[in-house]
Amino acid sequence: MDISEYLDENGKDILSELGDAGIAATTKDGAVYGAGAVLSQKGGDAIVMRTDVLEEIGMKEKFDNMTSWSEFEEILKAAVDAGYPGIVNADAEGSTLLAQPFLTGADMFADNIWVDVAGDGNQQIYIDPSDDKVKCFYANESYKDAMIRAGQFYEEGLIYKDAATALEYADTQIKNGVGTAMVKVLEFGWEDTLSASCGYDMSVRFIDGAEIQLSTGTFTKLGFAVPVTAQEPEAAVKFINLMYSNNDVHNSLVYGEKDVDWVMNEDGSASYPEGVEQAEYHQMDFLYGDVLQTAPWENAGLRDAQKEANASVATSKYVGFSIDNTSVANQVTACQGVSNTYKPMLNSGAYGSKTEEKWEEYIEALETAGINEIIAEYQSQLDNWLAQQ
Amino acid sequence: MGVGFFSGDERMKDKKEGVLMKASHEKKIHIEMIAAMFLGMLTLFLPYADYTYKSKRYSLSGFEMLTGKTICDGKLILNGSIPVRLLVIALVIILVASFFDFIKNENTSYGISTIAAICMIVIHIWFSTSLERKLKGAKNVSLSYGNLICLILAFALMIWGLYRLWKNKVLNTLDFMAIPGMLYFVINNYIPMFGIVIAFKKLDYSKGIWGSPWVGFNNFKQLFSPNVSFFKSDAWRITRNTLLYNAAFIVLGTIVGVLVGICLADIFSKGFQKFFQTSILLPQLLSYVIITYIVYAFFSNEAGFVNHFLGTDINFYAESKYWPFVLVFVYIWRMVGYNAIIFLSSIVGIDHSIYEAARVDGCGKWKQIRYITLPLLKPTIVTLFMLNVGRIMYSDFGLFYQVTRDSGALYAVTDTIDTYVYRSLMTLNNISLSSAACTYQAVVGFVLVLVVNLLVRRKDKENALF
Repeated sequence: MDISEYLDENGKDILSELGDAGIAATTKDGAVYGAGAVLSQKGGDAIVMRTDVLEEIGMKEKFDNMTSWSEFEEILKAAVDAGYPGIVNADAEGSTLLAQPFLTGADMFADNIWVDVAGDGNQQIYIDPSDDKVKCFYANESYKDAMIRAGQFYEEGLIYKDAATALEYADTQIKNGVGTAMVKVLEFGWEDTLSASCGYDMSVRFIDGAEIQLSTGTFTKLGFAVPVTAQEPEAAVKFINLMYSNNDVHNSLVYGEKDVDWVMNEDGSASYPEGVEQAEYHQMDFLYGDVLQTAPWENAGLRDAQKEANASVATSKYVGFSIDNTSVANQVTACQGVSNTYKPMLNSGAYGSKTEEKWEEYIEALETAGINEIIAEYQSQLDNWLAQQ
Repeated sequence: MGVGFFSGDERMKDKKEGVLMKASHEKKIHIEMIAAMFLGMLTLFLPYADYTYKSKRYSLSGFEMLTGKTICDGKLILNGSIPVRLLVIALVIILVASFFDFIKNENTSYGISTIAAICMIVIHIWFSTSLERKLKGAKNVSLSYGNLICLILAFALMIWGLYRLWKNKVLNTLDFMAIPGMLYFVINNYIPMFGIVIAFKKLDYSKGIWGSPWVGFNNFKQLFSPNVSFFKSDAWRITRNTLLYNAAFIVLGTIVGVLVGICLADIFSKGFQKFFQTSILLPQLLSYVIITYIVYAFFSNEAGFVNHFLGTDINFYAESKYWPFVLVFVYIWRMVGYNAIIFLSSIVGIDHSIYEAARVDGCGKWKQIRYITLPLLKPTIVTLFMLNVGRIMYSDFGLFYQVTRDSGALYAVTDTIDTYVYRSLMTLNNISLSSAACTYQAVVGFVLVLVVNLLVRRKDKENALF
């Protein structure tokens, strides 16, 4: 429901913590429909690979300093030749070499880019900042090149053969020994947790050009809204406000009961109490509004570093613009159906040498399903929004 | 059948007695109905709903809800409540019913008042479920005691009416025994049919099903892909897959089932028969999730048995051409035990003296099967066929969704109406579109059953379902 009337009185901290850009992301026609999350905003597309493998094949230094996909291909080939498995899928859509919303078709990392998808959860479109036009993500040449590369990698045996249909994701698969590397969107401060979830020490190489910018999606990825059936909306807004201002509330929601599930250390970090190895209640810290309110887990300097990093993030020119797909919902569904058919296969390189041909088929099928109607609708929304700015 | 005939005879007898009783019955005004009506009207002056406004508790009487009222310092304007109006109409009908002895007879009077009482109960359910929406803006809305008294009154009147009708032999005990089953059908099968309206609406959660705007056949339009010919649309793909797979399942399932059934019946040793019967039935007990992993163990690219054994490099989950065979095989393998047991039970029921006579006349095994077993199995086969045809638009969800691991590249041959609906609903969250697909499934399925039944009736009236 529209919570704008309660924000001034009960949601002051929501307003101040999110700032104009954050509030704009959940605003439509002057009405605010929710509070987006304040997260670690700096991040980018990253190649992650097992450090022990890199050291064994003597390529750790090369990995840390590589500047192109061809160099990565060489490293991966050496690993596979040494008997290790290749890249595994980072998600349910079989993504191996391309993580959305990055366009990583160019060989040189510096030429890879991040694009603004205007909060499109279905990942069908992006906005080209050079001409303010809404375009189909998959029809982009850079996307096609990345897929052709995935096809080559697949044929060379560098990609896990079941990546398109695997029900587990990269972290688990690396832990299970069917993968050595993955390509994924990584946020600042999350590099350390990867080693824990993958079961091996992992090396991370960020792709230089593909750095996330502050956009609508940054805030709408996670967040809180008040349902239309709420009987006490002002109380609900008050509670959401606590999540943006009160450390105690935040720590309790994330880590559970103080001194039972967790303890506050002198340096301001949180950790398990002595003798406790795993608490019954322990959530991810980014789930409850403002992550910066939570005591960092066993890493005292993390929040200051995140704050500093957040300040350095570039802002997209379309922050605050959010597409509304209600009038083209059926076309969106139809296009998703088409994507379900082609995307996992393309992403995982499973089409091999037929990739280009299949990509053309994919784009044609998207057009049949109405992608152009979707683009036209979003374009008119964007034009209206730009006119109002 | 026996019970049906018995109940028919009983009813006739009961009716005759009822007529006799009626002849001796004295016409009267039903005071109890008039009393119930007045009490019901009186409850309108008691609180029907409570709500909180500015930390104070307020009540709304039935009468206030009937006429409409402005509450919460003018913030909330209530129009007259439709359920309460209907409640008053039902009470008036009860009053009229109390005089029906003079117009028609006593049983009509009780019949009308009982139906009105049942209507009152339904209206109360409607009232209580719609109350919160009606008083939207007020807090802690709840039902109050006036409403409950009226409900109890309706129950009492209904039970009294049913009791009198039973006493007068209009209803018999078997009618009451049918009530749980009928209630189940009404609640489970008929009430949800109203959901069909979602297919013609653009569903908006904040407005609810009835408040959402109508969009006519727009949701269906997308299903039939307006941009291309029908034969390239989603509707064609999912219909073709559903029908062809089910046709294959029905035909092959029956043939294999009959064959295995005949073989089972002819196994001499009882021990062997039990052993085979159990072992072919086992797959039926396996969940499709487990079957998925069995199939995966055969066809996976990285570690699959087939690729390793044949030394090939086939990407099974990307090549749709193999799947019609895989799915039909998996289905038959899973269902054969169940089908065989049904046919086996029919074969066991065939009179053994017929076979003996045939043997005496020099008939071999093959001739016995051809001229005795198969003709006598025909009614079972036809009935099962009809039942399966009734479900021909419904697909085995686990088979098509789990076993194929929902691999997008296989949709051309594995997407059926049910998986399409599930995907539209769960992953794409488009309730209207999935409702449209469901409605399409229901309508086409219904027409198919009618057509097949018509064909069967023309050929063989005995075996038709209706």
